[in-house]
Amino acid sequence: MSGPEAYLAEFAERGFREGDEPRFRETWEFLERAYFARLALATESMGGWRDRFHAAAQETARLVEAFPRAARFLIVDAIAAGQVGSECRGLLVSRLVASIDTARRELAEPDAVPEVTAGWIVAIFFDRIYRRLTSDSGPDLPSQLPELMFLAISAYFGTEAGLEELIRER
Amino acid sequence: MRESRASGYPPEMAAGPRQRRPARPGGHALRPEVVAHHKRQQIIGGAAKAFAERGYRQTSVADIVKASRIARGSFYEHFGSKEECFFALYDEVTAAALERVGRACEQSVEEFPERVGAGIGALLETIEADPDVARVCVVEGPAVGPAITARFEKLIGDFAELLRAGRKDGASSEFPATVEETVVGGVYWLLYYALLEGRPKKMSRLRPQLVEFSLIPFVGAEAAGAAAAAG
Repeated sequence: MSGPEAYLAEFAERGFREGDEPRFRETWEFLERAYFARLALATESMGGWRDRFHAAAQETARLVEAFPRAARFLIVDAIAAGQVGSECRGLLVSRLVASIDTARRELAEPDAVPEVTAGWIVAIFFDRIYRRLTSDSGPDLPSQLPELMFLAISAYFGTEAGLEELIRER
Repeated sequence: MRESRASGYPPEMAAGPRQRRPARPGGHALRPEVVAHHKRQQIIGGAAKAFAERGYRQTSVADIVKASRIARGSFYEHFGSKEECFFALYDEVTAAALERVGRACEQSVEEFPERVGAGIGALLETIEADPDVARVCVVEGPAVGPAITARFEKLIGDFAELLRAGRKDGASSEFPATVEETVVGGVYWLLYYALLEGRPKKMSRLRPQLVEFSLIPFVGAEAAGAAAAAG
């Protein structure tokens, strides 16, 4: 097992401990790099923002289901990792927000939607992933995508566009 | 157990002694339940201070005891552990917030968008009234670990129920059944990051955005924007 993989196994077993910061950060950076590489692959052939976002959301949902331990580390357990967890999550959220907010370029009036729209979208996805990982029951993430896509698209492009997405996903 | 709003004590305790007790020199005898309740509230208050200062993980029972100005033994008369004490605080704060938001929605005689605006306004006022305690519950809550899950789900579900009133409006019946939970969850994590980063300083500045995001799925962007701009 590599360093990050070994730490993930250890972390899942015993949680965060003082002195873990360097290994925590190394593991986080490894997983974040891997995640963004997968997103880049999933979206490389896509043209418009909506298609890219759609592909990125699908890939995220697939990864959460396929790699629950890594997802849990990033989304759930990092919350209990104190300062280093907050810092790492803050950077990841900022990166996602910047990427999602490129949707403004496709709006006739880019400033017409609230400043924190991308933050809102990250928040609704985060919530669903968090609750999927913390509750044993409940539907898998891919089956929750229509609703998430509906809310995300509605926030930038209005409810009609959101409903189109809901129908497309179904 | 429902508490008397005026005194903060359960009704049977707030009603006062049922029979005359011998007076102590310098004061009246207090019923043991009242003393116990007061002590418990004192510990919860101290715990709120300790958790706000050090975070959940770094706070020990000794920190709570010190902040509460009680004897260590007193702590264990009321709570079995730090976690149990945290949950007492969490339950009290979240129940009060839910009640305040529910009341604001009920008292608003206007349409659904304005009621949602009133509810979100009340939530943000609650947070601004005591940002440290809000931060303890919203930010430190998820740091407690798996034991918080049921409470977290209940909290989201209870607030979603308040929002669900909007689904009476015909068009929204085609939406997924869990859309309110997702909206409330989004509001939760936006507040989480705002409280974590201490930005904005005045939480009420988030009101227009939160109102708009909460309403868009139900009433459309234009009406949501109008409701966000109002109030």
